[in-house]
Formats: sequence, C-alpha cells, structure tokens
Amino acid sequence: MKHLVLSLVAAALALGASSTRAEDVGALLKAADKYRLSSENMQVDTLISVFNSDGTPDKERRYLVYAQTKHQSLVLMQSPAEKGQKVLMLGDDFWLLMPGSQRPLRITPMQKLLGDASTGDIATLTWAEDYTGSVAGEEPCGEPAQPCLHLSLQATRKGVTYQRIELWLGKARHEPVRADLYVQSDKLAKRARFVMDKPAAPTAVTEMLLLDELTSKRETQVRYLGRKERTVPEAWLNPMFLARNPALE
Amino acid sequence: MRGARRAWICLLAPALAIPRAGAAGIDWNGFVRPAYVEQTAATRGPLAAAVSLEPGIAELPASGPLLDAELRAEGHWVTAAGAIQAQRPEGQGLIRQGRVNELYASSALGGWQLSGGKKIVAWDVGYGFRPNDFVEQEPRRLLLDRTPEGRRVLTAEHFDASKAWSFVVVNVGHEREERGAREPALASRVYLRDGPVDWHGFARYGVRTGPSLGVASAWVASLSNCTRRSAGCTPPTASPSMTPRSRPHPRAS
Repeated sequence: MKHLVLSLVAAALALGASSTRAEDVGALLKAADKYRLSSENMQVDTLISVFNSDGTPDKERRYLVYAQTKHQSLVLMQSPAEKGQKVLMLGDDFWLLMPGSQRPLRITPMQKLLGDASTGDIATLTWAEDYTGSVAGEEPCGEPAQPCLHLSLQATRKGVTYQRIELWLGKARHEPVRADLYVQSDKLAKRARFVMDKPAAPTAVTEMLLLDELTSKRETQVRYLGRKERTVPEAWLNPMFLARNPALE
Repeated sequence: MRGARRAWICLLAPALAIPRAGAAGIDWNGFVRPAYVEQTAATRGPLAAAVSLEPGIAELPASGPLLDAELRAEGHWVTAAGAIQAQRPEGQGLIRQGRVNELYASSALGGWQLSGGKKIVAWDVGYGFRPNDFVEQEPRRLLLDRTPEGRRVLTAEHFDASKAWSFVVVNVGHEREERGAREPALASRVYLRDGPVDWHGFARYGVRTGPSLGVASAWVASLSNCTRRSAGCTPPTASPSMTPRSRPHPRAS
C-alpha cells in the first residue's frame, strides 16, 4: 500500500513537472527572443561577413531589416553591389524585388542572402511564435562553459527556415548560447553560436556565427550593428508598392 | 578614331559622376556594361540563299564590341533615366544611340500616388512569358536585356497592406491610328494578396483595338517538397495567367 501511494505521488509530480516544462518553454523562448528583438516592431541594421574555411575574409554585405508584428519583415540591401534589392516576408511567403524590374519574384526562406545566411536567418528574429518543444535537460555549453538549458524545438508552421532546432540557453538569464539548425529532411544544416554584448550581464545578441554543416564548412558572421523601435507604413509591406522601387529610407 | 574616342568619353562620364550620389538631395545610380558580340549569319535558309545569289541584298549580322551605359537620377519629385549604347560592328563605323527611358514627376495626394511623364509601367507576373504586359509591352527574347523605354503615361495608384489599385492613361498625345505598344489606351489593374496566392486583374481599352480583360495568379506550388530535397533549392513557382481579349493584342517587337 505504501509503495502504491509513493508511486502515485511520484507519477503526479512527474506529470506536474512535464506540464510546467511545456509552459516554461514558451516563456524561455520569449525571454531568449528579447535578446535579439526587444520590441515587436523594430529596425535592425545588420552586417553579414563570410569567411573562408581558412579564416580569411571573403565577402561582406549590409542589410537594413524592418521586423514587424505578425511575421512580417522587410529587408533592404545596403551594399553598393546589391543596392535597391529588397526581400519581403509576409508569414510563410517571401518575395524578392530587384531594382531594375517591376515584377516581384516569389522565393523561399531558404534562399541565401550571402554565405550561409539565408533570408529567414536575417528576417526572422523570433522563436516563441514559431516553435514549440520541451526542455531536454541541463548541460554545460558555450565558451567558457556555463550551465545551460537544452531545448528541443519543433516548428509550428511550414514557412520557417528550420523545422527543428536544438537550442541551448544560459540557465541564469536565458540568453541564447548556441543552436543546431535542422532542415525539413532532418539534416543538420547549420550550427549557430551567439555572441552577447556583455558576457557577464548580457542584454542583447551582437553577433550570430553560422557554420555550414552541409557543404562548405565556411563561417558566416551576422552582426547586429544597431536596433531601434520602428513601425513602417502598411503599404511598405505590399509587394506591388515595393515593385515601384520607392525610396524607403 | 577621334569620334570613337569622344564616344567612349561620353559614355564614361556618367559612370564617373556616380560616386557623387546623394548630392543636393538627388539619388544617382547607373551602370556601364562592356560586351563583345560574336555573331555570324546562318549558312542555310532562304536568306542565306538570297545573299549567295546577290551579295548585299540584306544586312547581315556583324560581330564587334558593344558598350551600354545607363544613368538614373531621382529627387525633388522628378525621376529621370537615360541610356547610351555604342557599338562598332566589323567593317562599319561607330554606331551611337541615346535615349531617355524615363522622365516623370510624381506626388502623393490623399493616399494616392500620382505621376505623369515618360515612365516604365510593367504589370506582368509571368516568369517565362508575360501576357499581362498591358502598358509597357516590352520586346522579349533578347540576348542582352536592355532597360525598356517608358511610355507617355498619367498614373494614379493606391496601396494598402494587401491590395493595390492602378489606373493609367497610356500614350498620351499619340495618334488614334498608332499600333502596338504606341496605341493610346486606358488601362487599370487590381492586385489582391490572398494568403499564399497573388491575384491580378487587368482591364484595358485601346482606341483602335477596343476592350481587353485579363486575370493572373501566382503562388509557390510546393515549398515542403523543396526543403525536403535540399537546403538551398528553389521551389517551382506557379504563375498561371489567363488573358481573354476581344481581339488579338499587338505587341512591340
């Protein structure tokens, strides 16, 4: 009888713990998102640098990202070689707009901007709305090693760049430390590392380092040069308006 | 030789002006594209037979260097774009062509975007073909693509988050008898984004050809199949397009 009571209590505690964990994942992801996007409508100045496998610099491009609510983002290419090009993301739908054309082209979030940074890596800066999952456990991660929470995440909608993410967050402050990014075939596509502004008391992600695991093994550095709150006019998120090549800055 | 040198200087001058972009609130950009065109006449066919019987009866394609330059300036409600092309086919002198592709003024009034002047208005959504090109009617299947020459238009456009309305009077001031892309006409387009599908509706009334209607849609057909195949692939993009018309619609050639 005593064993039965103990078993029931243990089962109840386990059930309670698992439901708490499921609820916690949403809160953990929201906390982690704050380090990349501190408001729902933001303007993020981004610099992407590609390095060869021997560490020598290859290419560098600058992007201005307007990340807005309801999974809407607009990326404006700023480097002279790409000036005038734009990528619009509305939910699961992506368009590429070229300065010499009035025809918006539909693209996928996997299509690359530069190096191993895909459009989705730059335009999508939140996990809480797109992923659900569980806490797989606690383990050390990062350099230097620190206690981390290991989250196993599955995408909740089809338009995201990665269908599965293994994410490690700092246990104390829930800042993102590293992530393994898997495509729909469940192949590991990239490994990401996150660099914080103040390692001792982080407030924002300043860099995301992407290592390609599929082909090139090259490293792509995504640096967030500046962030500020900005809500863009709704017409800016209409592909036909953007096709007219209006001045947006 | 002096003429050729002068032409090169004329073409490079706009390119040298580009670094001054942004001066006095004017945004400049442009490009210079040097190329060499290698082409020979076909040795079979009726034209080849005619030329063999009577040399010089038809102009044959000739190889030679080619230079395209384009300069675009925007500011103070006015947009201007000009292009120059210079080529020297074998056995011929320097051929120079220059034209103004766009020169128009634009402004906003009560949520509407208004513009007037010479302007490129391209409405088509086709990827391999462009049946809904009601206004611009660009030449196609070119080996080296060139920026099309704008039409004389008056336009009024309205945009919100998911819809766009456009009304255009095209070829203002042209004769009623003009044909093809030069025909005076009224044209309108409505665009609607309905989730993953883009819908486009078109209507046109040509002075000579009469009314035309068109509808087109575009969507990404199979994103999941694509991402399952590889990490960096491009999915098939569907863009069916249907353009019923009262009469055959002439095209620029």
